[in-house]
Amino acid sequence: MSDYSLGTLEETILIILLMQEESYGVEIAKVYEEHMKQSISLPAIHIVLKRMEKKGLVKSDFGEPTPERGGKRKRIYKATQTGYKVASEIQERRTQMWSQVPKTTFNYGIS
Amino acid sequence: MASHETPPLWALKLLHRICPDDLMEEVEGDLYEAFLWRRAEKGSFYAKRKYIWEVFRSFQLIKIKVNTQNSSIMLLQNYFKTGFRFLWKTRGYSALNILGLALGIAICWMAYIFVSDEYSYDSFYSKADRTHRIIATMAFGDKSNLFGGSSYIMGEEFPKQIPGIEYSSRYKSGFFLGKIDEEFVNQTTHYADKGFFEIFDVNFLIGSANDFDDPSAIVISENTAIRYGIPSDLSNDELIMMVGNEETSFKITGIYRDFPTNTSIRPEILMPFITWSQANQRRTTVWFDINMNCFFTLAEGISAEQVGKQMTDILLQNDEFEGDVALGLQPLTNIHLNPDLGTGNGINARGDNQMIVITAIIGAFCLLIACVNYANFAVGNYLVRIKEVALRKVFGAEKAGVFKQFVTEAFISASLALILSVGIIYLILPAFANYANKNYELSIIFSESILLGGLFILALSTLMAGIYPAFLLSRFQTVNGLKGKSKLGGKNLLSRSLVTLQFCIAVFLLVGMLTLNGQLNFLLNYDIGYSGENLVRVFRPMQDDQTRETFKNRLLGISGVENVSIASGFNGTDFHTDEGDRVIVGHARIDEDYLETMSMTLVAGRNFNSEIPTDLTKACIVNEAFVREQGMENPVGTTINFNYGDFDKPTIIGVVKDFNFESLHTAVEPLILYMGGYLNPYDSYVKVSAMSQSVMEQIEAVHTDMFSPYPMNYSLVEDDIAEQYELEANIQKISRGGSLIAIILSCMGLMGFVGTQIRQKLKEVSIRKVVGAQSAQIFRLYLGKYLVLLAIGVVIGISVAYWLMHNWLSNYPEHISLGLGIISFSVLSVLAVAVLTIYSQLFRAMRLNPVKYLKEE
Repeated sequence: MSDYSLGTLEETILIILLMQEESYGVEIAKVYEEHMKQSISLPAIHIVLKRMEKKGLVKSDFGEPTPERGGKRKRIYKATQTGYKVASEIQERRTQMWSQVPKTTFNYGIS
Repeated sequence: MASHETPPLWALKLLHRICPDDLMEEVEGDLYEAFLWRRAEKGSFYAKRKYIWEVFRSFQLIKIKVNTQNSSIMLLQNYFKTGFRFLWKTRGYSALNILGLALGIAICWMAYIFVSDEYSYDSFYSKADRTHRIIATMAFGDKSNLFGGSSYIMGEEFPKQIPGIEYSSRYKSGFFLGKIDEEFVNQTTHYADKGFFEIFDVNFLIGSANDFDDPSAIVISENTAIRYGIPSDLSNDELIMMVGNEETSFKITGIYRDFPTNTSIRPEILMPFITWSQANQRRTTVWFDINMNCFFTLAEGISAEQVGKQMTDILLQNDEFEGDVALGLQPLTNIHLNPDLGTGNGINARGDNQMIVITAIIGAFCLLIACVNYANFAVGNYLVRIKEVALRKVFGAEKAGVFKQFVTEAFISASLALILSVGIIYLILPAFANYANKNYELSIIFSESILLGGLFILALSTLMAGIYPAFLLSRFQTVNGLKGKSKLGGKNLLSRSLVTLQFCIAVFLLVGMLTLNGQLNFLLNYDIGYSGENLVRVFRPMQDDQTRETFKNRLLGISGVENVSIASGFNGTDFHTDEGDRVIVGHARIDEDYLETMSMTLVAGRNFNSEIPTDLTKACIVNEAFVREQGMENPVGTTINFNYGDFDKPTIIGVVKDFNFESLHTAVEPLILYMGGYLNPYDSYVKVSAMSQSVMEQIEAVHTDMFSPYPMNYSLVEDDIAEQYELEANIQKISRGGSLIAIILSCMGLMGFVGTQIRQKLKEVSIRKVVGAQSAQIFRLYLGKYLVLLAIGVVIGISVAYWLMHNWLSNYPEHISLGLGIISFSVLSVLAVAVLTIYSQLFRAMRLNPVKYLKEE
C-alpha cells in the first residue's frame, strides 16, 4: 500500500479511529490528549479527517444533534477497509524494523 | 448564561464567515463541545482562548490539500478552460485564424508526407544498410562519366572471388507479351538471381524460390497473379508469354507479396537469370558492360570501398581500357535520390530533387506564414487580455505561468487546426498525388511515421505561434495592465518585422512561381526544330528492308496519311578526326522521308535520295551543332572519319537545322544522320493530315495484319514532347497552388495585423476627422506607415528570389532571362493586394461617425 503516504498525525488519528471503532472530532481530541500527553487543536483534526476521507481511508456520517453541541449534529468518522489495511501495514513494518534493533547496546544504556 | 459561559459571539460569526458551508455544522458543533469540555477541565478563560485560536486555525479548512493532487495540473486545466472560453468569445476571428493555421498545417503536412516518402525509399529492407549496387566510373582525360550499371560476368565472378559478399543478385528488366485469356499485353519482367529473395526480404504467400534456377520457372507478385487470373493456391500454375515468336509456357513456382510503393525495385514477374544468359550467350563474357544492375549485400563490418577496390583490380586483370576505369558500390538507399547515377535496367525512375526542394520550401513557408498570422493575431488581442493577465499576476501568477498559459492557448488552436487540416488534406491530396506521381490515400496520414510527423508539426506550430505572444504578454507591467494603460512595450518591433517577413516570403514565392511559369512556357514554345503536330510514332523494330518497304507503302495507302518515315533511335558514339581529336556524336539511321515527315529544315546541301546509290553507303547529313563544333567553313562535300560498323567515312551532303533530339534540359549535341548501316530502325513516324479515330484504326489494322500477335505500341509525338516536360509542368502546378495559398495566407495576416492596429487607433482617427482631416489624408497617413514595412519585405524577398532563380535557370541551356517584367509584376501585385487590404480595413475607420468613438470614457 505504498500509494498511501501518511503523515504522523494522520496515522495517529487513524489508529484512534480504529481504537474507538467510530468517533468524532472532540472525542478524538480527548483520546489524543490522553495518550500523547499534549494538546491538539480541533481544526487540525478536521483537516486530517477530511484529507483522509478524500484518500478513502475513512468514511463519515452525521450523528444525532445533542444539547452539549448547541443543537448541532456531529460527524461520526469510521476507518474504511483500506484504512485498516494501511494502518496495520505501517504497524507491521515498524514492528519488524524495531525487532531488528539490538536489544542491548552500550551506546544508549540498558533499559 | 453569563458571557464567560459561552464562546465569544464575534468568533462564532468569524467562523461562519470563513468556514465552508458543508463543514459548518460539524465544525461549529465540535468547537462548542470542546469549549464545554475544556471549560469543565481548565476553566472558561482557557476554553475561550482555545476557542478563538481554533476559529482562526479554521482558515485552513477553506482549502484542504490532498497530496495526490498536483496543483500545476490544475492550473493547466484552468489554462485550457480560459483558452477555450476566449476562443469562443472571439469566435469569428478565431475561426478565420484557425482556418489559416489549418491550411498552413495541411500544406506543411502534405509536404512532409511527400518528402519523407521520397527519403524513405528502399530503407525498410532489413539488409538495406549493407546492400549496394555496382557502379562504374570511366574517365578520359578530364572528363569522367558515372554509370549505374554492371555486366553479367561481374555478378558471376565477384561473389566468388571477393570475400565478404554475403548475398548477390543481378537484376535486369525484360519485355515480353503476356497472354491473358486470348489477348496479349505488354509485360515487363525482371531477371534475378537466387540471392535477390534474401536481399529484398521477398515474402512468399505460397511456394518458394527453391526452383529458381530452372529456365521455365518464374515467381510472380500477388497483384500480377490477380491480373492473370492465377488462383492463389496455384492450382493452375501456368503462365504463357511470347518469347521470340513462340508462345512459351512458364511454371509459376511461387507468389510473393507485392513490394511496397516506396522502393526502386518492384518486379511483377521474376525470372531466373539463366533465362537471359541462354538467350544472350555473347554478352555473358563481356567484362565491361552497363546493361544490368548487380546488388551485393556485404557481411557486417565489410567496407564498400574495400570491395570496390577489389572489384576494380579483378576487372583490370581481365580487360584493358583506354581511360581510367574504376568500379564502386552505391548504397541501395542512395539510388532513388542520387542525380548523378542513372536508373533503368529494372530500377524505377529516380525521385526528383527539385520537386522535393520546392515542396519542402512551400510547406515550410506556408506553416511559417500561418504561425506568424496566429502570433500577430494573438498579440493584436492584447488589449482584451491585459487585464486578465494583470489579475492573474496579482493573484500570484508568475511570468512563467502566464507564459505557459499563452503557449497552451496556441496549443489549443494548433490542435484544432491539426484536426481541421485532415479535412483539407482529404480535399487536396488527390490533386497533389497526381502531380507528384504518387498513389497517396488519406489513410497514409494514419501511418505511424506520418502521424508522428503531424505531431511534430503540431509542436512546432505551437511553439512558433505561441512563444512570441506569450513572451510579450507575460512581461506586462501589472499595474499598467490594471489601469488599462495598454501601450505595448517598445514599438512592437517584432510584430512589424513579422509582417515584413510575410511580404518577403510572398514576393519570393511570386517571383519564383512566375519564373518557373515563364521558363516552362518558354520550353514548351521553344522552337525544337521539328514539329510533333499530327505525328504518330509507332514502335515496331523492323530489321528487314522488305518489311519496312511494305509497311510504309501500306500506311501511305491509307487516306489521310501524308508521309511515313522509319528511323532508328538516337545512339551515341565517338570517332577520331584526321588530326586525332576525339569527337563524341549522336547518330541515327533515317530514311529519305525523315526530314519532311518531321518538318525539319535543311540549311545547306540536299536531302537523301534513294535513287543515288552512294547516298545509302557514303552520305550523311549533319546538324548545325556538328558544323559549329568542328569549325567547318564549308561542310557540304567534306568527308568525315566517322564509322559505325561497316558504315564508314561518309561525305556530308547536307546540314539540317538544329533540333532537340534529346531533351531540352541538355544543349543540342553534334549529330550525324545516315541511311545505311546496321542500326535497327524501330520508330515509324506517320504524318497524318488530321488526327482522327478512323485513321488510327486503319493504321492499327495494317499493323495487326503484318505483326500480329504484337499489339501496336504508339504515341503521339506531341505527347512525347509534353511528357519530357511533365516534371516541369507538375512542379509548376504544385508551386502555383502552394504559392497561391501562401499569398492568401499573407494577405490574411496583413488584414489581421492592420485590422487590430486600426481598431486601436479609432479614437485617433476620430479626432483627426473632427479637426477636419479628409478621408484621403487619413488613408495616406496610415498607408505610409505600412508601405515602409512592405518595401523592406519586398526588397529582401526579391533579392533572395533573384539569386535563387538565377541559379535554377542556369540549369537549362536555353532559358528566359529573369527580367524586370517578372519582378515589377510581382512587386506591383503584392503592393496592390496590400494596399487593397489596408484600404478595406481603413475603410471602416474613415467612414465612421467620429462621435461614436469619442463618446467613450
